[in-house]
Amino acid sequence: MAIIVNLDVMMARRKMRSKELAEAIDITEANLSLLKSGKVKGVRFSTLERICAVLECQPGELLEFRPDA
Amino acid sequence: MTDIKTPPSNLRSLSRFMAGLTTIGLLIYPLADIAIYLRPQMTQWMMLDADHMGSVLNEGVPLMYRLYALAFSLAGVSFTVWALWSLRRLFLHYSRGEVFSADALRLMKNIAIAIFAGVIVTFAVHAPISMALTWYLGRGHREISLDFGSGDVASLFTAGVVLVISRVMAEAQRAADENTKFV
Repeated sequence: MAIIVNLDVMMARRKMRSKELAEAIDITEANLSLLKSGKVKGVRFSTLERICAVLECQPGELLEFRPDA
Repeated sequence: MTDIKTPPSNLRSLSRFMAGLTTIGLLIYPLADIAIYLRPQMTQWMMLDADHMGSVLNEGVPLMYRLYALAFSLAGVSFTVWALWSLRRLFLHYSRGEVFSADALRLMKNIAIAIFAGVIVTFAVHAPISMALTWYLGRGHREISLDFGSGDVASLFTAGVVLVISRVMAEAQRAADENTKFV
């Protein structure tokens, strides 16, 4: 997958657990887990906005483009 | 597959009611067709829109010829039975809340195909039916008739509408599935 989700890195930096973030952005822990592992087809802007607000970061810090080898 | 986990109670009860009604139709329709050919006088009142057949189909027609006609008639009936069977299963899916399941969409397509094929086959078998029923009359009295009325046109439109709706629902299912893959 060319798009890498660095959510776990950002969460570690902010010392935030999955459960806390899931509650703060109003999605299930299961969906958050799928998002962290990059197993989703897309992220809604509204979800991205809430993650950025809670983790105090930019979308570019969460998502990264890495061309497939 | 995208389903309604708890279908609204009115959808559930209406679907169950329609499934029951369809089951009754499923049993009555072929039996009525058989009865019309085996006991024409007794079932005259059932030949609602087959007036010209009513004049041809009577107890005076030897049973063997009536059975030939019945065999052709059942070819058309079989498609109606297929449509009713598919409709029954579709309503049972709806009663369980499986509105957008792949099977429900397949059944809708089957219903459209069955209605469409039923109209075509019924039209095609009308000639052999009329021939079988008048064959015993001898030369000069035999007849072949064709029948295609506004009811058949309406059925073809219904089949078209059901087919289009099934395509639209397939598209809706695809969109709903895609939506579930977004967070």
